Amino acid sequence: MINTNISIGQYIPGDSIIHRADPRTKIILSLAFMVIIFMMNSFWTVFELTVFVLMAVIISGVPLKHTLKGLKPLLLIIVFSALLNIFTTKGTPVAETVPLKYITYEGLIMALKLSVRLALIIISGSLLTFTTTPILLTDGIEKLLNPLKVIGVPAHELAMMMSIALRFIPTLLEETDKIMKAQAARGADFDTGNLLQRAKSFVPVLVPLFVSAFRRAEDLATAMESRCYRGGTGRTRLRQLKFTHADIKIVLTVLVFVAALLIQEYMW
Amino acid sequence: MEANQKAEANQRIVSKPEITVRKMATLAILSALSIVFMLLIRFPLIPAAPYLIYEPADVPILIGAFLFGPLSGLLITVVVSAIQALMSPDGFVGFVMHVIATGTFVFLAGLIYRKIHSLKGAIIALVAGTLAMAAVMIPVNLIIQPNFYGIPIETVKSLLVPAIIPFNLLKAGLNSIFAFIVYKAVSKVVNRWLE
Repeated sequence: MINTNISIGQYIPGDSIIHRADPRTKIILSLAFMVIIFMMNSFWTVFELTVFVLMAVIISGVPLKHTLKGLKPLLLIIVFSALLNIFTTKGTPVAETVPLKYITYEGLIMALKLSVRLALIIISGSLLTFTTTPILLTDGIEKLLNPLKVIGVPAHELAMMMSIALRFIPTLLEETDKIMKAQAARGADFDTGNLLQRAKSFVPVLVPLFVSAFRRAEDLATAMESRCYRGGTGRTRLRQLKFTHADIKIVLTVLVFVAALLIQEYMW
Repeated sequence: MEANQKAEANQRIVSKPEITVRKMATLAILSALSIVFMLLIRFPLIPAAPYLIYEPADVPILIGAFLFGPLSGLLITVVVSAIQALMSPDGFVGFVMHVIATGTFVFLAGLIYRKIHSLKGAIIALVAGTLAMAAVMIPVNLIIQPNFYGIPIETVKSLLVPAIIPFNLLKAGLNSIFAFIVYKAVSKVVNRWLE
């Protein structure tokens, strides 16, 4: 009934310089890149950004087809927003004839720029998840959030909860499937009826699912306590995050490129 | 050096961590459950707008907020949104929207239920949470849709009353009903474990 083989995270194994870089570097750079992409408005800077992002994808060794697949869920909204912009931006019409009269050059450029920028943000973001395992990502997030402990952000607990959740998603998917099948065998019907009937049909799934989830949490807590887990302070790690030459190279390349872009955008 | 470490280790054993292992494990499993709901149970609410998908992902988060308080609800929200950001191409913007929407809902609901810890309190909490979430999503949509997706602000404004507000009300309302039914059923069992 349900495909329980859903892979969480989108990691694609590889040995490129981007794969080898520290997750902290990649998280910060992809966030910074999002801001930079929003700041770029001229045709040439957006074009150069596109080339840069595509080159990064090629270097990462992630198949381009795979990268573009990430755009699919947002394709509808990209097209919708592009169409709206084509027809609503005021400016010089493309031609005097009736269908083309409503389309302006400004609208076309605006639509192209917005769609490309949105696509770039999505691609550069998914490059992070394509080249980093979920475990490394949570490690990186924990390290990056550590300074915020001062203001009370539970950095270690957040990262630990993320790791646990990632580990248990497939298990709970299987569990849900099992319970749904069990209830279907007792005559439950999940796919027909109006909204209220469908909503109602899920209650006999939710209650046992929650009870079983709490039982799992209980078992897990006992297992962790019996292995002397007591929070992040003083904990040692098998894998230590370390900055390497790969990080220096990547950061320098991005810095030079972004500086060039900013000069072009704001000083020319 | 060694004595120092020993003292530190003793300190660790003596001082109880703020978030107990039991609570953290439960919150983590609830986060996983939320993602599972997001992946498995989804259907459009309004036939006219099939792209506004309902998913009961907030139900486990609400249960968490009812059991452990508003801050725990917020913690689950952040964990779920971060995992979702890793799984879907929405990335950081999706993360921010999810945290604001669900965060408002569960924080307010958790806060009220903690103050009025009764059946009536639960109903007030869920109604208030639903209304607050629908209200918060108005400025959020007006800011994020034009700036991120490039949809003109006039279009977003014209969609507010016929689509965005009723969708959020319906979604949060349905989540509230689910959470209410499930919480009533599981709270007795769970509270006994958590003692």
